[in-house]
Amino acid sequence: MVAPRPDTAFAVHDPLAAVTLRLTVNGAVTEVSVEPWTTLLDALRERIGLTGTKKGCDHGACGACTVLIDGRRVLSCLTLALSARDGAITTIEGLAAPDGTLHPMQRAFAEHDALQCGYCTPGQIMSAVAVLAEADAGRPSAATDPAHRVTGRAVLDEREIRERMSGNLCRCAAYQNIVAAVREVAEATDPSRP
Amino acid sequence: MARGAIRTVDTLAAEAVPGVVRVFTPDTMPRLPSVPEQPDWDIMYGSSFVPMADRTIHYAGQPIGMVLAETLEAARHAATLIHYEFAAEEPVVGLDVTTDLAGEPGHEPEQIWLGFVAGYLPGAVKRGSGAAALDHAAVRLEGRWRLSTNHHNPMELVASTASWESADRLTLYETSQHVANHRNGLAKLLGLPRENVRVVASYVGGGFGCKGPVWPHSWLAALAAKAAGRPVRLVLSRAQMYTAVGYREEQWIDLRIGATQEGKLLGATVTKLSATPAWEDWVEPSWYPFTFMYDLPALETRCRLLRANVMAPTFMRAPGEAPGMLVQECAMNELAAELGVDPIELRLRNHADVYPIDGSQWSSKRLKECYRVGAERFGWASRSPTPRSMREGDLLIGMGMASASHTVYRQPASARVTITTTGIAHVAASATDIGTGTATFLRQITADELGLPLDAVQALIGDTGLPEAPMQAGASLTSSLGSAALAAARTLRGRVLALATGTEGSPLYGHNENDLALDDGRILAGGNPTGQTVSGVLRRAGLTELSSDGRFDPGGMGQVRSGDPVRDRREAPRGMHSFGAIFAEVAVDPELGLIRVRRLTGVYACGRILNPKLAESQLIGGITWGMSQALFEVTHMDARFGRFTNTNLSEYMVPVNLDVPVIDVTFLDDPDPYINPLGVKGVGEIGITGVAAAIADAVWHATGKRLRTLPILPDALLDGDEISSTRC
Ligand code: FES
Ligand code: FES
Repeated sequence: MVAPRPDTAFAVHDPLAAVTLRLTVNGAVTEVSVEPWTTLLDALRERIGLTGTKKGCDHGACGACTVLIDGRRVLSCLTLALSARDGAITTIEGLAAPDGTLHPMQRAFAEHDALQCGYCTPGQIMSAVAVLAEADAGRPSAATDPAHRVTGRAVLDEREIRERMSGNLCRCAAYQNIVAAVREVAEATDPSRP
Repeated sequence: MARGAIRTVDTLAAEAVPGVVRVFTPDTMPRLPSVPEQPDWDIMYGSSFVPMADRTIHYAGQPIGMVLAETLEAARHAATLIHYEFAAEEPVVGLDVTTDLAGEPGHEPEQIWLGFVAGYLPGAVKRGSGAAALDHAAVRLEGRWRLSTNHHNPMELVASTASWESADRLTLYETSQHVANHRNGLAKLLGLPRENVRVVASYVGGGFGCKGPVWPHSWLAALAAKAAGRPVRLVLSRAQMYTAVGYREEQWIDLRIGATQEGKLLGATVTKLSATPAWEDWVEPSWYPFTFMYDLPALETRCRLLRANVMAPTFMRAPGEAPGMLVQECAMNELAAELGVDPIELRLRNHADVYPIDGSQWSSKRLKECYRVGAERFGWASRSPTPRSMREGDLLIGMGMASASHTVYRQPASARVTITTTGIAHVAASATDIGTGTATFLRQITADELGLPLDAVQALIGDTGLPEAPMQAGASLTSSLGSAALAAARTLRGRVLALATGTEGSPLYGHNENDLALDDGRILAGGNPTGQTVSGVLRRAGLTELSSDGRFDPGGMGQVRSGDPVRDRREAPRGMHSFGAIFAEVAVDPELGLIRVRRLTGVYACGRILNPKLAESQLIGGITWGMSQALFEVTHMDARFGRFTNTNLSEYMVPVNLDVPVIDVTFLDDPDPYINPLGVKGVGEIGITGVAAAIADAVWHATGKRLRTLPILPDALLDGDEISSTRC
């Protein structure tokens, strides 16, 4: 049994030295120069110019910076750009089809007026997309009855959606319509539905 | 540190960081050519204090250094390396001090300045003798309500990007609720003609009041950019936003109110205590709802201000009404319980049939129907009046209600509508959209008036190069700017038809304009197609486009400018308010003191509703703010250091998705021919009003505890005689 080799590719000797790395963002490989402590959020916004991902707190408290790495939602303000180098990063800009057709979740948000100022919205939508994937993987939430064994997609009723979306603050308080939007897409894509 | 002075500053280490361009301290920051005057009738400043101009420290969080660097990381790192030594003094903060910074027990301002939206209000109101009326009251209620400091916390951070196009031309990209105000403010402070300053705010991620006034970060960014000879972007951190762009001040409101045995209000006295910075008086008029809401024959209000080591507070969603309605509606509920009268019935007995401030008629008022429809939708009749009488398993259930109301503000506004031969129309105004749907309502009004599909109308907003629109504040933008856009579109429509009917050789020459209509770019006569199009009419006239300007000018009624409220009121022929009723149901866990709001039902009469979807969203948002005021929001102050201690979104509580129940919003049809040509009263602010009182009453109804310190947190319910002790 061989112990995994420590990852020394970017071992930092000079904390001020910029490092160059490749990030895969929305299917495209982009070379960026970042400092070792540059967050993925700042790398996306300041270096790559993808400003759709928003900074609301820079502290992991609001969810505005939510992006997907390999389909899982992460807070990009709490993720170092360096540590995201092996993953496939999806931001709000990468959700619509190349021809501009909106992702069903984007369309549902617009239809249900699930936003007011729209600042939290990219994070909400990225979270919502991941919520469906999490439910498909049968992952329970804090609102899931522990006695209930989840097989197939976890139930996404109102309480489940609210709980699973509670990491994304909306100061405009568009929550009710966010729930309606997520619910609509959840129902339309429920694999157990005939 | 909240009070004292900088003794020494050392910037050497900071300047040595690679990537650092400039380091500014109060010693090296370029000075403003002129300092803000407060009040200023043309410009709304958030604060007249100019930081980075000398070494004195007035409040914790005051800017004392700025680093410009090539990267955010370098700037942030270098800022930590500026070394300061301070001479600290004991700060004065909190409302329980005996003497303030001026060595006084506070002062009572004769008038208070609420910016150009509301002008001056008297610091004290006297209608009859509130104190004397109380002597004759069969029932008297006396109490102090303690309301916490609240921060706007829009999700978008506050930011300025300043770019000098030449030595005397500035473009400022600003998180602004009012680009014209930012332009005027920056021009004045920087000594530039207004036309040399352009302010752009294409999208704004929420504001709630804090992005309306001009604050120091904007002019600091402009000064820094000038000195560096390069554009500068200054983004406040979330923590910095707690001391840089205002807040709703902590306030203690002492109320004495009396009624007859039948529940008819006789009189009240209201005294508000709050803190203000050394350099100016700021106080939100929390007593204001007592002046208009009920038939209250005698009223005396005062406000006492303590000078303290704090930054200036400012407008926050429904200034005056949010705290004032809370206290007033709580008092109505307490009186109702005292008298054994249903809370709705008590309100009906004190319904103000005329505008109490001057006895004039209301422009429209459907409050009684709001109560009736709300009670029906909520199921108010199922409430058993006795506290602690409703349960569900282990949970104590409580129901409460309150009135809601907001003043209708009106502001001068301009808009321009242009139609082109491509069939596309533009509607343009400098207004911003902070989440309220500015672009949508402008397009909608224009499309309706010009008979165009919505997709054929584009909105241009958020730029001082466009016709001047007012501040997005006071729930007044849709009504004021919408009326201007309507006027522009109406004029344009008339001009198109005049061209069609007045041009010799036109197939419609000589037609009566009144018979004609516009429909999807075509011109109809008597409802039938004429084969003529708007584009054709323009082309025949040799035009590629045609524009009209529209203006809404409420005259003396929009801005109270004389400083004489009686005279200004006289110019207003009617009392103008939106009204509503809000109902809340809570469930309280008696063991843990946890309060969950289970239902909120609101019924509103807000004039004409232009866009039901957007209006409902505004109300849902506002009601959630009211719930937040009741149960969540408090910025804590550590009095020893004069610092806010929870300046982040994990410890400053706002509701998350799961905290918020289903909110049922209904609008009553509320035609109002007086307020403006659109008949729109505005929906942005009324939502927050009354909610906290309804929830506080529901908590009382569930637990039997009257709590007057807001927000109501679980420990208050577990305090002393613990609520589960009487459990059976
Ligand atoms: S910006 Fe990342 S959680 Fe707020
Ligand atoms: S839409 Fe404004 S914060 Fe969510």
